[in-house]
Amino acid sequence: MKRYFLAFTFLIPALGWCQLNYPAYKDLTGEIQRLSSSAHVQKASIGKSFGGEDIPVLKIQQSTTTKPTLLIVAGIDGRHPAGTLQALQVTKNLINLPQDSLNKILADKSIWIVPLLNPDAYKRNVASVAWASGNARAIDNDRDGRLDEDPVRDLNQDGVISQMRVKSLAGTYVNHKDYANYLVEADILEGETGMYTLYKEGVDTDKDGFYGEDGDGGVNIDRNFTYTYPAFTPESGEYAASEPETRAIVDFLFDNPQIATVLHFGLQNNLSEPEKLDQRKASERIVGSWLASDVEVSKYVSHLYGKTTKSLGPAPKAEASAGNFSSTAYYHVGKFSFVTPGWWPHSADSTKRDNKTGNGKEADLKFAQWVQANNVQGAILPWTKVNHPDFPNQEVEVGGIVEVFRNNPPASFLEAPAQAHTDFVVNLVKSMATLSFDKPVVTNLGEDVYRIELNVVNTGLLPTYPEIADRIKHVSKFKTVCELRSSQQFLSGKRLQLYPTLGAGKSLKVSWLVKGKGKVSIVAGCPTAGEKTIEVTL
Amino acid sequence: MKFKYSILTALLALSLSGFAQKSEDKAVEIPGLRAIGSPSNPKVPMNWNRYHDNKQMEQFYKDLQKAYPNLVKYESIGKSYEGRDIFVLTVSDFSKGDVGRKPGMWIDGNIHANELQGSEIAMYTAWYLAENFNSVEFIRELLRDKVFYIAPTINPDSRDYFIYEPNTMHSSRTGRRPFDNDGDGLVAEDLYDDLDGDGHIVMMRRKSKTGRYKVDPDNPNRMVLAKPGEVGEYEMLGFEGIDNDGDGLVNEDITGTYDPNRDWGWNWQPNYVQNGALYYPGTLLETQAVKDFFYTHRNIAGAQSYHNYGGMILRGPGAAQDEQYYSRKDVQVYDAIGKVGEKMLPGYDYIVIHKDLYTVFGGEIDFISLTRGIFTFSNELMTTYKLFNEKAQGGLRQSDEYFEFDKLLLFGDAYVPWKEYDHPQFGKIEIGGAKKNYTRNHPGFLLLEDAHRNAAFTIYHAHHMPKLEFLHTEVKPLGGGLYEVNATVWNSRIIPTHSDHDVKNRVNRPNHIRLEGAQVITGMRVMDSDFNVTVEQQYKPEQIEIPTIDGMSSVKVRWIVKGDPSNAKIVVDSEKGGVVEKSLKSS
Repeated sequence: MKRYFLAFTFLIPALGWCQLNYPAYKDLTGEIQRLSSSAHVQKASIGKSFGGEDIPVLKIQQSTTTKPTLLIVAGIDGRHPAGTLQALQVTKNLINLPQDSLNKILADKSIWIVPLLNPDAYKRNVASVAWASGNARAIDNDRDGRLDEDPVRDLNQDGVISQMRVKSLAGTYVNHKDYANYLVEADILEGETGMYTLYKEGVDTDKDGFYGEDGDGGVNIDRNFTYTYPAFTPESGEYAASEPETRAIVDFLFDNPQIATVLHFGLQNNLSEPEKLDQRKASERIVGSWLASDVEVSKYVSHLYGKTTKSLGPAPKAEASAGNFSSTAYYHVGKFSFVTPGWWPHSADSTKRDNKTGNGKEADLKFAQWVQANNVQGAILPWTKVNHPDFPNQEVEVGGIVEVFRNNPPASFLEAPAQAHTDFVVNLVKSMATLSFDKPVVTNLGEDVYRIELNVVNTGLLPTYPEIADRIKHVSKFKTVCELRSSQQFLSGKRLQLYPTLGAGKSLKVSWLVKGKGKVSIVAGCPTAGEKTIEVTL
Repeated sequence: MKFKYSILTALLALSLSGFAQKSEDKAVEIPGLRAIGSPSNPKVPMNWNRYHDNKQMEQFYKDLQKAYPNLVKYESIGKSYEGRDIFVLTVSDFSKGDVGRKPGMWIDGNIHANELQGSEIAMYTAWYLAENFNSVEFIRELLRDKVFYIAPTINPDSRDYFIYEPNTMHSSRTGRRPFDNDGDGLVAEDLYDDLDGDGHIVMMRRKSKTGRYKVDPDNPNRMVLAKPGEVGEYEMLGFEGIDNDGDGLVNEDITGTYDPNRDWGWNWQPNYVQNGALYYPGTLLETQAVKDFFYTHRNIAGAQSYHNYGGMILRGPGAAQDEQYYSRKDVQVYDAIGKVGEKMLPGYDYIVIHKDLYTVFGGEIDFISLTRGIFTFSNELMTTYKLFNEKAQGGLRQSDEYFEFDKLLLFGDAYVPWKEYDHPQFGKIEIGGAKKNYTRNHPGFLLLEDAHRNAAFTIYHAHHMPKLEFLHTEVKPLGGGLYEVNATVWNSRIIPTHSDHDVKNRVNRPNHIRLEGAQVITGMRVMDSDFNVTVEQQYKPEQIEIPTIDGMSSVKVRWIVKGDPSNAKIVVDSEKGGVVEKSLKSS
């Protein structure tokens, strides 16, 4: 094992990702395997990737009895390996909680983790010059009928794909005043003129005016889901849910109705700022906004998130992109669905310098500041001259931002965020709906006629399931099943009755009128909040 | 005289049978016995006045393949939920050209399993093509140029379930995969019940002062609405069944109330938007198998998906918001074929799904036409027009024509007369009504005629898939060892190689016109040869990329080559338009 590691550290510098210090794919899957040997952890598989890799799930639970479950998902978009590492770190932190705290959580809840939904991407990227999104399917990204004919090209042989600038009168970019090697758009309002055109490092092999637009990379699973699926766009696949990874996770959610809440470490963010209610969109046939009562839940969870992750600084806004997992998990699968990048560039002095830095995009500036403040090696590279076949008479340089660092810091930077997110996860699980059943009240009305009254209270801080789930046929609803003996009959009420979601702190009263003596058994509840069987004797 | 003739007939029969022995694919046809358009002596005798189960269908595929090995091949493209094969018949002249590169016509049926006749009509089409290959020149040419992929049922599980188990004319629209339809955590716990055990699931009615129905005095099988102010006699209680799970609802959790035709990957929506949808498009194995077939057969250029009922030739889109993907140009192509269809299919109207029927999200038609860019129709088979060859009075569901037709032409075979029954929840009720194979599925004697008319329409559709031909090629010396090669290629049919939608969204790769065996200096598309307007192609100029070759239109390409190209050839290579090539020797 040791020798293997040595061999690998020797290899990594040649590949260019030594500064990230992320594990090789084999070491990552080994780590997942190792975690599953802890007490309270079971490993299972939710399916296989397009490339035939196993997609594991780690189940932190006391027993195989189903309990309301929080599902953590990461590694959907291949450009976000930090999400996977953080999900695994959170898993470790949870396992290492003091035994009594962990036991208390697991007494009536479970936490499951799918750390790497898109294993093909990690496997390919960690041994490659760039971090691409998709799985192992070969796709025609620019839809010109040719597969991967215009791959990225590491022109200066430094092991990574960075930016490429070409000195040109038609250029719109200039060097940033404060940050070396960082290019920003010239500020026309300030009378600046551009010096460079900016491209991704590469060659326009197919002469279509785009550089490296059709290389390895497959279908981006986070663009392949059904909600607002973007047809005919790069990396979205041939049709919604065309990929085995997409189907595996949706099937998994439907097959495990006890999953109440989903937390995704990914490239969007609905935690730093809560979901907003758009009443018009919420009322349309194709629902386009979280429903009113779910928005209230989002506000609460967002508040919780802000409290537990305050030390990480303000997170950048990230719009939900079309066909992404997290929106689909809410709108089409009926789960409370939250997403955060888990880590973002933040340095202490960022707010002060923001105002003075001219025309750069805010997120980019924060990134440049973070790189400078922490002296992050390999994230923004100095420009080096190259000879470029597409620009024979122009000055072409390679350098600038190495894309992967924007969302993925060196591994050591993930420890503090993982701790904060562990706190968040613990608080989120504790907030999930919990049903409390009062002892049923039986009233003898005489002549063998009995009234049974049952009161159920949701003592959690979240509803049993989102309001949207009441509209989705295949989501298991809140129900009561009252089983009579053959000698008994209902005078009022039914054997089976379904109810809508039960809000936090809300209670539900159910009553039956039964004729006939004997035992009656009542099952009440729902998988996302727990079910209970109650026996009464009439 | 008599004697002479009989010898002649005997000789003729002898010579014909000898001929038949020599050529296996040829059936004996005696002109005087042949009813025009139909083989008098088919190698695979079939009765097209009846329906078939999966076993009988597979036997038909086997027989047809055995009789016409050079024209018919059948294969399984995947398995259903219950493990049945989904079969596709490939019909083409296997001795001519590369079958996988001929423009392909997809035909499927029975996605809604209660809609039986789509299968028979699809099977009839394969049978008709094979049995008439030797008698009809048009069919011979058609199978030389084109290939048919015919999937008589893409829902085999439910087909047999519909045929053999308790069902109504509307039930078993679905497949056999069980789901929890009512969200109670249980699966398929409240099915139909054949209460009186007569093998038919029909209606339940109960005598009631407040009921709004009464018996039609002219036809005791028929229930009609009481007039406003008039006291009714009966309330209708739905189809035969009991409340099996005690939730106060009858038959509310039958197996699969999902709809396999809401399981496709274009504008898919969940079930609260589009009833019948499942988890995501392609939740069902059957859907996945058909989708995969489309991606491995990129030559499919036309498609027909049979449904019932109502007499419609439908085109997309299924939802109003997708109108944007139907340009005027594409609609003109649909119109050209659809309007001919109205003539070929009396009583059928050529209409648009979302405008004239209802909105469908995630339907198969939209997947084929928009995700794959294929010109697709979906015929809703059977119409009341066929009963008395006139448009129904008072709309589809109000008319009494079905009852009258049953009385006059079927002599009461179509209805179960009302009889009393003691129901555990409803008390004294009566059970009766139309049998499941009536109203939506054709009565036997109408089936053959409609099979032929619909088959003919798909043949017309298939005929108008693109056919690419060289109009003109020339080689012009430019001096100094340089030559100019010009080629004009045209599409002699209505359907373009790429729809407008396809071109805009780059659904399929462009057509390639390739010069092979010459040293190409540069290549270009000639937009206007009179004024020398050209567009140079820098990348791989030996293979000019052409976004589409429209129906009845031509494109021109030009290369400048070094050295005499007379040994070179030009290849036109189109995914949906096929492959043709021409040597430059003759130019």
